Amino acid sequence: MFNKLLEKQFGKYLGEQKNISPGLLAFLEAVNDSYTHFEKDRNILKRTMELHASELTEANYRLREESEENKLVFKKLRESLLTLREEETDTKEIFKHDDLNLLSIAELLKKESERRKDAEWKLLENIRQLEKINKELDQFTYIVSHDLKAPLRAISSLATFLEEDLAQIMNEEAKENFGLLKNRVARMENFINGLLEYSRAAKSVNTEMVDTEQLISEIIDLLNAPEHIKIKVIENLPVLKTDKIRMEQLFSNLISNAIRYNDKEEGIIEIGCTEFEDWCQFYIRDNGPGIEKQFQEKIFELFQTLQTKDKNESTGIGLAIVKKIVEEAGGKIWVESEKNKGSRFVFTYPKLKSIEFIKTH
Amino acid sequence: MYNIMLVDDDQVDVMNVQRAFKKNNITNPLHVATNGIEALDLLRGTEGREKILPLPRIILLDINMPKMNGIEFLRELRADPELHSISVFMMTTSNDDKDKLDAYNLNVAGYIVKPVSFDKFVSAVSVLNSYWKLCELPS
Repeated sequence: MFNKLLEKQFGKYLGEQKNISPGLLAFLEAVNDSYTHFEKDRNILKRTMELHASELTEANYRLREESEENKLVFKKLRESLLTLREEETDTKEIFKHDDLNLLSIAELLKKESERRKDAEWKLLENIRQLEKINKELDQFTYIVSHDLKAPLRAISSLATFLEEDLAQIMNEEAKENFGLLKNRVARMENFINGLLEYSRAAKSVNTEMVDTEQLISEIIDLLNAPEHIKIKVIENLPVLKTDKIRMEQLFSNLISNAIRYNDKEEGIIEIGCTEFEDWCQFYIRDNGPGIEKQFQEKIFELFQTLQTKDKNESTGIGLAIVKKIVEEAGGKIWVESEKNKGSRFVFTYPKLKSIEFIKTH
Repeated sequence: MYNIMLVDDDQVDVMNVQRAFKKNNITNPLHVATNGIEALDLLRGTEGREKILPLPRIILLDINMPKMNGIEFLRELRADPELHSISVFMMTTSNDDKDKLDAYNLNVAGYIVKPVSFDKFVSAVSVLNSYWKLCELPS
């Protein structure tokens, strides 16, 4: 069997196949073979060409896609670089030209990340430095307070010794002066104790579960308020993950202030709390003398008092301690008050999340 | 009437103790040393010092002193077989937790932070005196 086309040609020129001599037939078979081979090769080549063409289109398509993607990346990179270095004019200058390639962007990014890393390191260093200074300051307060007490004790003792030894020959004025001397020594002792407490308010935190309702009732017992003052605690105060000693300092200062400065025949103090999702808002309300607007911020500063020290032995440290504790916990404190209408001290206190709780341990 | 020793470098603090003893009618002989080394010399009769005899049963001890402080002295005292059973009461200005811990680890009988007011100190000594009267000490 020959190729159909060949057979037609053979028939046309050589007549019936059976009449062809065997020699010629062999030749024709050889021609047919090479013809078929050629056909096969052509088909293979054609197929190969087709394949290559589709692959080329495919590759082309992919390239186009990639280029679109690159354009997008490029755009995003430019945007992020601009936001990263908004303040730097040289970057803006560079980006005026659209012919920026990826390599120069990568270079810029590298520089920028180095700059950031450097800045971050400096920031950490500053924080470390600040922490150190703070610690030193608290240490300093502690040492000063501690060492001031020794000579004070000596003054106090010597005054007592003199008073005892000279009792027979002293007149009224001298006796009164000794009284004043001892009173001022006591005042200085209060100051030193207050400073000690203030420095302690910054010391390390031990977090535990604190039932504020129970804590407040313990503080009220301890403060032993006079008969004419009634303290009411609105129920359901929260249980907080916090430092118990600081919490105690916080409430005991606020409640004892409310007791101490109350000037009414029947003093009323109320303590309550509103809970929010992430934080609590406590208040301590009293019907005392109230605080004028102009002093409402000042009272939280160290050593600020509203009455002369002779009238009320106050050091002006208590509210500074309170503010320090609240702010270090991440809360805020303020007072709402009008003269003669009582005061309401309000502070917010964050609820420690369980993750943060684990972190601090 | 057994001997009592006071180890304190502050002259006024020494006067405080002497006066407070007088006010509380404590008549035991009071031997004073101004630092740990001097106290050890008095207890051992070393460095030419005359040994206190009989040895004091009670020592009142300050912490912050020159040469050898109270805690260092306590360590020496507890390591000395002749002296280690003496009852020691800390009387110091230090309200430091570490000092308290160190002192109690060396078996002190009490730790008193000196009050600023002399009257308060007198009443503290009065409480100590009744405690000493109540307790049996080895003779």
